[in-house]
This record gives sequence, C-alpha cells and structure tokens, in this order.
Amino acid sequence: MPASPALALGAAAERLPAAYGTRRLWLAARDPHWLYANWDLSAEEMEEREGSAVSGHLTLRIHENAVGPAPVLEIPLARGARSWFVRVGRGGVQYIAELGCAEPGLGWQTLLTSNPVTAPPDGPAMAAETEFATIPIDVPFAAVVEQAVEAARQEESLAQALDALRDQGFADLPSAREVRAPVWTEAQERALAEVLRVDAHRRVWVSSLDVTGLIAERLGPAAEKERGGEVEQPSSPAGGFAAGEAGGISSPSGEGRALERERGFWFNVNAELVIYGATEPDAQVTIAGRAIKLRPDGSFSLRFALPDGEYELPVVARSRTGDDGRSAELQFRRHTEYRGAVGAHPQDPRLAPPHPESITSAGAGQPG
Amino acid sequence: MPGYLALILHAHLPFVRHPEHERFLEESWLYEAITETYLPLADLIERWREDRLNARLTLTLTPTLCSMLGDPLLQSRYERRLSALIELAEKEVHRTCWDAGCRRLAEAYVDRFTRLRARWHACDRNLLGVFRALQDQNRIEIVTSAATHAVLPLLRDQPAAMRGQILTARDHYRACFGRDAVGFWLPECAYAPGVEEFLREANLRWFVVDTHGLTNATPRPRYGTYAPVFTPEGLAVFGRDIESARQVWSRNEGYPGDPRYRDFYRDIGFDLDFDYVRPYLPSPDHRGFTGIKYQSITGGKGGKRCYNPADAQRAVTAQAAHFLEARERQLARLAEVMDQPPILMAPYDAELFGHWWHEGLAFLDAVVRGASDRALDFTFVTPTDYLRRHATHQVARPSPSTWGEGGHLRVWLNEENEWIQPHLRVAEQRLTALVRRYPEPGELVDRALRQAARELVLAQASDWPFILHAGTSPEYAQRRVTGHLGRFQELYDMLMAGAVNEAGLREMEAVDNLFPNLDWRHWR
Repeated sequence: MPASPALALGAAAERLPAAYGTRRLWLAARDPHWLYANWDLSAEEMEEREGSAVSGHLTLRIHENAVGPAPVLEIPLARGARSWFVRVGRGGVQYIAELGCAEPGLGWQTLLTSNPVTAPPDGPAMAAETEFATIPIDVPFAAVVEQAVEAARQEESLAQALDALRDQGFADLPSAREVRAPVWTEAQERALAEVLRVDAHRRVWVSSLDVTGLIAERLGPAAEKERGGEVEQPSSPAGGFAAGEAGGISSPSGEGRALERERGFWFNVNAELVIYGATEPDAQVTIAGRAIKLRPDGSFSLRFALPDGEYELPVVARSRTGDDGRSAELQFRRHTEYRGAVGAHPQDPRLAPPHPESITSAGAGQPG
Repeated sequence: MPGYLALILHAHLPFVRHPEHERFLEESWLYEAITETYLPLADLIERWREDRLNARLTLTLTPTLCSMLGDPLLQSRYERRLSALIELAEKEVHRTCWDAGCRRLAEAYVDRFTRLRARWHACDRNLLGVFRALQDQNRIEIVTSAATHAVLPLLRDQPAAMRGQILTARDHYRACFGRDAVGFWLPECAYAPGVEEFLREANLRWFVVDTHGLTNATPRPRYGTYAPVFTPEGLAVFGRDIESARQVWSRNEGYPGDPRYRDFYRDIGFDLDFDYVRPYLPSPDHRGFTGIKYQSITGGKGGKRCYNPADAQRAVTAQAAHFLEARERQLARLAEVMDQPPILMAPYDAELFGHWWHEGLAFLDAVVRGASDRALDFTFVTPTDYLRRHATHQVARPSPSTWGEGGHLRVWLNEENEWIQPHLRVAEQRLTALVRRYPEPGELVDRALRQAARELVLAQASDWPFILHAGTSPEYAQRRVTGHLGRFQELYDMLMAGAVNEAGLREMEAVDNLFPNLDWRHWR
C-alpha cells in the first residue's frame, strides 16, 4: 500500500493539531492530471471508521461529473492517511471525491463528499464562435458593476448585462450588440493559427527557477548534476516527484543547507597581510598612497591580499598641522610552490560554498 | 501597423521583519533587493524621464513589499547595512592593492554604494514615495497583488479568504499611492475562475496569465496572447508572450548566462577569511552574501576570470539589440496575420534585474534607449494604456494556470507543503466565523480581529510552500507558517472565550505589524 504524504509531516506540524474534526473533504485540481484530496476527521472517528471497514482502511472514490455507483477511481488509503494525491486520466473534466468504506452487511458507506473541481484542460479549446465586447476602461466600472452584478449572478455575461442596462436607460454604455467582430478571413485564421501552433510547441516553463538554474549552469558539471534535469510529472500513486526535479530559488540569499560535494581530499591556501598600527587620532595616514580612516583612538588595521610576487608598501603618517611626519617602507615577497592541486576558494566546505543549492529562496517569483 | 510592448516588473518579497533579533538572516532579502534592484531601478526610471525617453513601464509592488519599504525599523536597519557595506568596500580597496582588476571593482563598489546611500538619504528613506512620484508623473504604472501573495486558486472555495486577500490589497494600495490600482498581479500568475468576482468588487480592471492560461481559454482566443480577452465579468486578461520571456529567462537561451556577466554566486562572503567578512554577513554565524563579487561567470573549465564591466557592457549592448530586433521581427510577422495592433506582454520578476542578473538594469536601459534611437515601430505601453486605446476584445474564460514549473499548482501543493492546507482552511473558516460573531465589536475585540486577520494572511503567503518545496530553508518557512497559525489560534481562543489578553495582543501587534488599517470585515 502506498505511503501517505500526510505521514511524512515535518516537525513543524507537530505544533498544530493533527485534525480539527470539521468533517470536510476538500478536493483541488493541482494540474490537468493530478487531484489533491484532504479530509478532516477527528482521530477518534477515523479510528472507529477504519475499524469498522471490511478492509480495515478507508477508501477514496473519484467520480467524473457527479457521484454515481461507478467511480472512475477507487483508492485504498493507508491507515491514518488524511490526504492523497490522485492521478486522473483526463484534463478538463469535473471530478468529485467521496471518502468512505465498505462495512460488513451494509456495503459502501459514504463518510464525506467533496466539492466538485474541474481539472485544467490539456490543451487549447476547440475553435468556437467568437464574441467581442467593448468595455472602455475609463467608464466607472464600479457604477456599472453595481447594476450588473444581479444580471451576472443570473449567469449572464457582462456583455449581456451591459446590453440589458443600456435598454434600461444607461444610454452611454457601449452595446455588445453594436460591436461587430472584426472581419476575419480564412486565410488570416490559418496564418495566425500557424503562428500560435509554433508557440505552443516551443513552450517552456520559464520563471525565476529557470534563471537561477541558468546561472548555476555556468558553475560547471557538478552544479549541473546537482541541479537536476527537466521537469517531470510525478509518477508515484502518492504523487511522489522524480528525484531529478529541478530545485531552485527565486529570490535573495540566506542561510542554506551545506552542499554535499562529491570530491576527495582537497586543499586551499591563501595569504593576506595585516598592516596595523596607531598614531595621533587626528593624523592623516596613507598606505600605498591611499588615505585610510583611523579608529577614534588613532589605531588602524588593514588587510592586503598577497599573491605571488614582490611588493613595496609605503605607509606615511602626517600630523594634523602638516608640520610633522613619519613613514615606513615595507617590502614583501611571496613565492609559493604547490605540490598537487591546491586552490584558493572557498576556505572550508562546512561554510556553505556559494552554490545555488546553498542559498535560501523566497517568493519571487516570482519570484514571483 | 504598429504594435506594443508591455514590460512588467513584478517586485515582491514576503513580509520578513524580526525586531526580536538584532541581525536576522532573512531580512537581508529586502536589503539586497533595495541595493541591487529597487533603488537603482528608481534611478534608472528617473534618468529616462530626464532624457525624455518613452519608457512606460508597469511595476507590481506587492503589499508586503510596500509594508516593508515603509517600515521605520527595516529602513534604519537597511541604512546600517548599507553603511557597513561601504565600510567593507573601502577595506576591499586596500586589500586588493596588488590586484589591479579587483581593485578597480572595489573602487567601483565604494562609489556605487556611496551614491546609493546619498540617494537613500535624498529621498528620506522613502523609496515608496519615489515610486509614487514616478507614477504621479506618468512614468510608470504601479499595480498591486494579493495582500500577502497568496496563491488565489487555492482559496477558490473559500470566497471570504480570497476576498480578504484582494480587498486588503486594494485598501493598502490606496493608502500607499493615494489612488486606486487599475491592474492586479495574480500571485505566481495563478489563475482559476472565481478570482474575477472579487477583482471586480475591488474595481481592478486587468490581470496577466501565463501563456497557456490564454491559449487554452474557452472559446479559443483568436489572437492567442497577442491581444487581451475580456472575461465574462468584464476584466481584461493579458497572456505572457513566450518569446520575449524565453530570451530573458530561459535556462538554455536566456541572456543572464552570458560568460561575461558577473557571477552571482562568487561573493567574498564565501571566499574570504571568515573573521574578516563576519561583521558584514547577513547573519554573524553563517557565511552569506555581502554583495561584493569579483568574478565573471566565465564558463568552461578552469578558474573564474575577473569581472570586466566593459566586456559586460558590450554583452548588454549586443543582447539589447538582439532583443529589439527579435521583437521587431515578431511584430512584423504578426502584423501580416492580425487585423489589429498586437501587444507583447513581457512580465519578469523585478529582482531578476540587478539582483540575480547584475547587468539586468543596464540591459533594460539599453532596450529603452535602443528603441528610441532606432525609431522602432512599436510603443512601450502599460496594459492600462493599451486598454484605453483598444477597448474591444474577444470574450473568453482563461484556463487555470500559473507560471510555476509545470504551469499549474505543483510548486505550491505537493508532499513537502500540503500539510499547510488543512490548517489554513480551518483558520480561514474560523476567521469568517469570528467576524460574523462580532458585528459591532469594542475597541479591544476590534484589534484582536484585525490581528487575527493579519496572522492568517501572513500564513497564506505563497512564499512558504515555495521554500518548503525548493528545500532551501524549510525550517524558516515552517516556523513562519506554524508561528502565524499558532498566533491565530491564540486569538481565536481568546475571542471565542470573550476574553482578549491585551498584553499578548500588543506583543503580536508589535511583531506582525503590517496593514495597520486592515479591515477584517472583508472576511465576512
């Protein structure tokens, strides 16, 4: 029996009640082929119902269009499960879920029935007659709406409502009947259909996730491997994702999990100089000809990256009045001999190297 | 036949404000975005105005982002952060004394951050006011989004919750910008039938869906994404143009991956000695981004090359020209088959420009200036501009869709984050029950109801399930969801018992302080 996703709750959920006992079954269409069902039964009721079921567990039934004797899917649920991802065959169809079980001598007993949901369609709708409307954006919408709401509640379109209002004396409102659909030849239709078809075939999911992926890609093969491949549909009955699903981020940085890098022994070495000293707090000090800021007590401390080479570093202090001064000519030489592969950055793998996987995300899309 | 290009930048960050900590890691999301995107973007639009360029741009500023930009605590913390960054950049000028390439970059960072601080002071920390003025000068159109960026299709059968998200956004926009929003950004471009009712109530006139939201509409839209449709409720719906999206966004074809561009990930916060960078890190105990980076993306094997701004600018110029040529070709091809001027709708996350893609704002600048120099046969418009010029459109019902991976709700509803849903749903129902229970509350109950609504909307943000799914800092997202739901529960218990603990309430108000005038009656 497949595991329930609800059993894999994080620690966070422990602070919230497992159930509220509202006795509601919520059904949502996640995409054209996956539904999500969630039910809120108290622990006692769940246990009691599971205990009385012939099979020892509850069952989720999925119906097309309306509840009937023959569901299109019947899913045996793990004991204790409170939610389920359900794969369905067709997009664009209305589904209703039923939670229940078969009880001895009674047959199927419905515990809860969900709201109906319509899964998104798989593709473009069939061509149909087109209706055009004129809705000037600067016509006070609120005033129109107030009048039109009632008409719209009666399942009329706004265009129809506008017509009705116009008949009722709102002469300034545009009439949908007066708006003629633009003249449209078959040749135009074919030509545009061709353009749209090309677009549909070249469709890609592009969002901030992809941008981070794009940038990460340049980090090299290891990054590519970790980033994972293209999006795949979930394949397990419980809606489990393919392991290669693209992880990603859509927004700025933050603490992240450390990257587990698949490499063996390694070594990075860098050298920096620290130049520090002190003088009168109001003196002017330059290092390599560049003025530096002194701390309030007149002390200073600066770092210098020291690559291989020979360097001179003049340090000069002048009194505030300019009538006194001191200087020091520092000379340095760095020469490094490496044995084996020695790099420079980062300094410590535990310090979460700058990799997309180690960066926190938020929103935005977003992301946003 | 002329055409139109509508650039939409969607600026959003979740509400992250932790007065209880001196330095808080996740607050740096805002600070980085101000430094790298929001302030430079405002500057860029002002330069366009000075140079009299036609560059109508649409900018979404989500209510949570507006709340943070206007928050005095976050403003002062940002200023502290920016000053620290300047100090670090000055140290870097010395440290890179014997590395000419890095030294030039360090000097440029000092210059850049110092100018940003001057700009920040010049606007009196009020970045929101800068954008408001740009809108009042007719340079940009600012649109709003759901109060806390909730994925609205998940609220489809909780109409009060959806209404609360939308009307709270409407109210907040008025308070921030002194007028009503015309357009609405659906969080995550997530559409399902049902949102129209409340958008219409809020007097919002248009929104954007992803490409398939329009191409799969019923009946099939004659012009695909190249013209909006009206929903039966009278809202205009624009569809994302996939070609212009792909050139900027795509993993394989996108511009930001050019090897000459600055590498986002190589930051001295990760590369240099920990003791040295520690005072400047977002969180003192963890390596993180400082904002100072020296490497280019480079590509291929071997080490990274030092970033060369002149090389990057050449890439920007070439890509902007390519983008404009592609739009010209696209519009010319469409002009042959359409009987009305096509519109290309190009929405992007604002933070892409400048934050993720360092050269992104220079790219936008080059696009706008290139379009002006070349006297192109298309016009930059906002969707509202376009609807003023073209008021007749096909009536169709868009298809449920999002711009997340897979094009639907998978990012926000999967094994990692589905546990949130039942708790949210109960809280949503309970808030409505409370609102009905107290039609004429006293002052204390009024405050408690307002805070309960704040906690609910904060828990509904799309950001938390997204982070849980991406797995990047799930502990924080979990804490946020459970924290807000826990506080909601406390308030619910108090209100049901008819005994509001004023001290406890005051504490919550101090921490989750957004939407000061939130109207809980929207949840009736």
